[in-house]
Amino acid sequence: MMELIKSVKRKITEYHTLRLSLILGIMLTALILLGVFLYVRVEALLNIYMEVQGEKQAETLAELSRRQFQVELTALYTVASELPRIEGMRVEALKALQEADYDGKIGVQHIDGRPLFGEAYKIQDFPCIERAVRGENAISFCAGKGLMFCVPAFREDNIAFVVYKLYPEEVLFRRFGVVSYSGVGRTKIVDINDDIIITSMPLDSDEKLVFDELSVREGTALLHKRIFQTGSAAVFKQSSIGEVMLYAARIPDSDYHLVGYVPKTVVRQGVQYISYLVILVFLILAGTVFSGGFLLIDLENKSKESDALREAARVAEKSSAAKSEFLSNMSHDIRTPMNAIIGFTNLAIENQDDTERVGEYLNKIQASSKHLLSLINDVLEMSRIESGKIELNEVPCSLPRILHDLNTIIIGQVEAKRQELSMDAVNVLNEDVYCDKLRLNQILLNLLSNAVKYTPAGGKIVVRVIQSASEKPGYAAYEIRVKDNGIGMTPEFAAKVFDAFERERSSTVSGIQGTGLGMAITKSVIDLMGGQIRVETEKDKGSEFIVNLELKVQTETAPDRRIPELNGIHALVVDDDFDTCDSATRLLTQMGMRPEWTLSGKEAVLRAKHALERGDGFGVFIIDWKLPDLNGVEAVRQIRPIVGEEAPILLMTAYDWPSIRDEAVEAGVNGFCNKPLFLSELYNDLTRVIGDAEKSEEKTGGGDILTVGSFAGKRVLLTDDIEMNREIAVALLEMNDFEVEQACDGIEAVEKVTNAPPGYYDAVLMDIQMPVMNGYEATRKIRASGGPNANIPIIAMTANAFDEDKKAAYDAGMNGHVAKPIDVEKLMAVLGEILSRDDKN
Amino acid sequence: MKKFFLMAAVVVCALLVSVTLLARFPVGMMNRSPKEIQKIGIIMNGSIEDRSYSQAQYDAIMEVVEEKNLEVICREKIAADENFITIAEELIQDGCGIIFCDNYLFDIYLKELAAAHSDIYFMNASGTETADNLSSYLGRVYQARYLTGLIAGLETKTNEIGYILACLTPETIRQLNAFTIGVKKVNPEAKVFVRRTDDWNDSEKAAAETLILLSDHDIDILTQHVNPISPLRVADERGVKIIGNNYDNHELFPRTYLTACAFNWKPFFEARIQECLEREFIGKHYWEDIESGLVYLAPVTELVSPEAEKIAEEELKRLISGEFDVFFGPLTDIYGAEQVREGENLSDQRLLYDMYWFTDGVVMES
Repeated sequence: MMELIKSVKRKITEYHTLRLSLILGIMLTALILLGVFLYVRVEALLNIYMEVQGEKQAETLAELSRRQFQVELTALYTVASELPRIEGMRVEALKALQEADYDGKIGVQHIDGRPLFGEAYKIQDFPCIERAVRGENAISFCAGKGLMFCVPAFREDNIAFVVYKLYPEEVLFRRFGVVSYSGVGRTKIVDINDDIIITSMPLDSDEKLVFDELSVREGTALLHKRIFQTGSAAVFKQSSIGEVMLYAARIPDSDYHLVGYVPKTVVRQGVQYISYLVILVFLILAGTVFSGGFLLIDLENKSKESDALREAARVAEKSSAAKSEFLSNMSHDIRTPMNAIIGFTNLAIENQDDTERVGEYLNKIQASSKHLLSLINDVLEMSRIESGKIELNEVPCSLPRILHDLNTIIIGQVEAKRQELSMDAVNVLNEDVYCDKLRLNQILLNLLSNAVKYTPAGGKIVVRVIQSASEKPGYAAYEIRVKDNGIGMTPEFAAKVFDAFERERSSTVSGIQGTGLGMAITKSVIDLMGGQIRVETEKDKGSEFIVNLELKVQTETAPDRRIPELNGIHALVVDDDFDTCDSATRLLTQMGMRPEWTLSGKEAVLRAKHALERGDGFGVFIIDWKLPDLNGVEAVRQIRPIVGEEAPILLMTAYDWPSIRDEAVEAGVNGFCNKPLFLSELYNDLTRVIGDAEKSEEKTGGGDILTVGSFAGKRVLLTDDIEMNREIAVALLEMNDFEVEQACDGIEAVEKVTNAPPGYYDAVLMDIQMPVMNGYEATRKIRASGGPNANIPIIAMTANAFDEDKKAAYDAGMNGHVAKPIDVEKLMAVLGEILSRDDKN
Repeated sequence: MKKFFLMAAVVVCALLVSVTLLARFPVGMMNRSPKEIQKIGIIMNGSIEDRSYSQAQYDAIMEVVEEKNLEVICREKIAADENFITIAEELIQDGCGIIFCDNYLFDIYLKELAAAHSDIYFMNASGTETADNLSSYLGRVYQARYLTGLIAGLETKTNEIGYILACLTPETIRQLNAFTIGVKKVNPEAKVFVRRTDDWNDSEKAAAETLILLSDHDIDILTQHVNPISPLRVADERGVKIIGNNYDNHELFPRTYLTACAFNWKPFFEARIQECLEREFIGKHYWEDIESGLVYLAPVTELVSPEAEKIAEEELKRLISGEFDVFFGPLTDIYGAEQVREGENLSDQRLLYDMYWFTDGVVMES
């Protein structure tokens, strides 16, 4: 079982964990996807950044080229501006100039193209010459010849010559080559038609020309277009040497622009750390989110725990508050009798001489003590039930037996108040059950005594037991109804009747004694048994308490209660209570007879006569003793002659048959049966009657009770460790003509008993709670001693008045039990019973 | 538990949104591609039917426009004042991607407009202002004018040649000088008599001035530098030989038309418009010489002698080869001062901005 629970628990945890893992997994995937997306985006952004940087770089390089060209032009311009003046020394100056720099060829020519110094060049080859002739500094390139810088030489406002410097193609790269990215990049200068002016590498280099690759050409074409709009541009393209960044920019003040490329890795250098940084930050963020999440989960759990704790604390507090309320209620109820006891005791002491008064006071003290005792018992019982220290002791019980015992106990009070008590059973097929007999008795007794208490004299109390089917296999559902026509309850009180310490506060009720705990305890016990109790009540009309219990039945199938001899016999039931007639009729039917019923004794006689005349005479009569018109006995007297001696006639009584027994027998009654009618009992009664019509009936209920009174000649051993207790007990016993010997503890008791001559002691009164050796132990020792007195009746006397203690006493081998403080009547009753039993034996 | 997931979901969404936004933004900026040009606008100071300067441009533009399947909005006879800006703005609003104009007087307004609309291209014939999206252009008409001068000098019998001029600007003076240099080269005795109309487009005024000029002198060849062709009509009626400008109108005047210094705008506009469409526009000043074909000497009619034609052809060759340009020295003005010495050339700068002298042979009548 535990294994099963464990595995189920594990599965639940696993499922929860699984769900959690699944959700976390999804979240992780989402975050990873997001991370990838972010990385891609960051890369794109970085690309853009690098392109922008590339553009700027291109612009810078273009500016450098522009300056280079500018320097050339300016230098030439300086020469040109001097030219017109230094007529004579022209050629010498120019020669010197040429020698200073052999890379470029210096020349001067007239406006019509005739050379003045150096070679003459045509404007078809170098348009810059024409532009210079028109007054502009100009640069032009002629494939095969080189790059020419040309400036006009002004004489005043007009152009007299043009001065040029021509760099052959071979020196161009060296002089004007653009060095970019520390030489890792390659840049060329081209004209508007994309023809190369300045190469990106020395002419004799055999390095692969990346510029000619298809994708690169696409890129440069794109850039070519873009620089019309923006002046400079950059773009990434794949190439044979990997991904490269292409860049281009217009060279201002010229018709040229530069185009170049550099491997992406070079450009990325500082920048790639940014993307790594972004990834790192993202991971940290993701990590934070996750840890934050777990933390939240943890916090949530803790808060749930603390919620649970808070709830538990609240419940505990509530319970504690309830207990406090209970205690405060209780204290008042305890004080009241206490006060009475103390008060009256004081009065008694002060008025010791006035014996009549003292007697009165003592009576009152006695009453209050009893009340206080019962209160304390109830409280302790309640507390034990609440703290769960009670365990039901399910034993085999006989419902008829229980009801009969109940009747016995309560009948005295009922008759004292001249009330009427009737009990019956309906559909009780399973009379033998398992239940906690002690507690069931407690419940029923409580209800009955309340009914008696709260019903005025002359009232009627009905107890009914009804069986119905139960869904639980092996069980039957029993409903016990205790109905009275007493003072009833107000609806408000009815709602609170089962609460502790609730008593109707009204003038009529205030005179009624009670602890107020009875109903609470009753309900608790019923709850413990798994049953329900409810009340239907109306003020001044009466109350009905309904108890529902499911009890395990001893035998599932009801035994066959058919009486073969009476099979099919016509039976007559006579009772003034319809319900009784009804249940009796049912029972007789179950027993195989053909029952009829009547409410009147007179009519019964008539019907008996008629039936006989019809030829279908009644074979069995069950007649209630208390009939309104003709009392039962008289009816029997009249019927017996009619039906003859054969037919069994049973007289129904409610336990008061001893007084009328003789008269009934004389009238012709064969037997008695008790109400409530139980199938088994009726069966027994009938069979007995049939079996031995003349034999004197066995008593079915109760037994002869030895009258309280003479115990003369009986000796008891009183065992108690407390002297005062012994004193009281001795006094009581001697009052009843007992001879008493005393023992102070268990050891002494054992010694005295085992060493006593046989029959010396008639009984032992044994206190339980004694030091050194307690009563149980002593009893066991005595029983085990094996001597002649080993089976001496031992009666437990103890302050422990609970049922468990009674049971323990019996278990130890004791024969009886009285509770302390000692109730004289009870003690005598128990002694009487035990000793009489003993007598018989 | 729910709170955590809600919070996490919010964080994730916020990340997504911010990242997406961030990433989009600069990329979007970088790749903004300009609109395709589908419409062009023409704002002319002159009339598109003047059979002269404005029409020459208009016809050429329209030819290119039709070939390239573009739409056109045209406004003619627009004065060079504030109203011009309004009209230009209208055209831009209507979706014109290029605005063509034909007068240097629009320069200042065009400079403003170019600054305000950086994605619209502005082209102004005879203007001199430039910007990234503004080009000015003209041909070196003076070269063609020089050739017409040669023809005039060779063909005149009276050695008196008439010249109707609009306003005195470096451009008009330059052309007048170039013409006169041509005349004087082949006919040192000839003189060029000039009358001004002070207006580019006033036809009646031009005709009136022509009448006066013709009646004042024994002119047998007339040329002009105004937009209307009324002077040519007047001369033609009188049997005076005429040399046209801007436009080859020889069909109109079969009896008297000799030649003209004309524009062939189409190749130029074709190239420029294509550059605009491909967004490869360069804002600069074009001054196309006779080699480009933008300006050319209209084919001489039968009224011109073959020798004259031959000489004109040879001079053209020299111009193209670069061994000679019209304003190579020596050049003297009407006061006898040497403006350009032998072996010198007038710079473009002077030609464009500093042409305020008349070469020897010009006679300013008014």
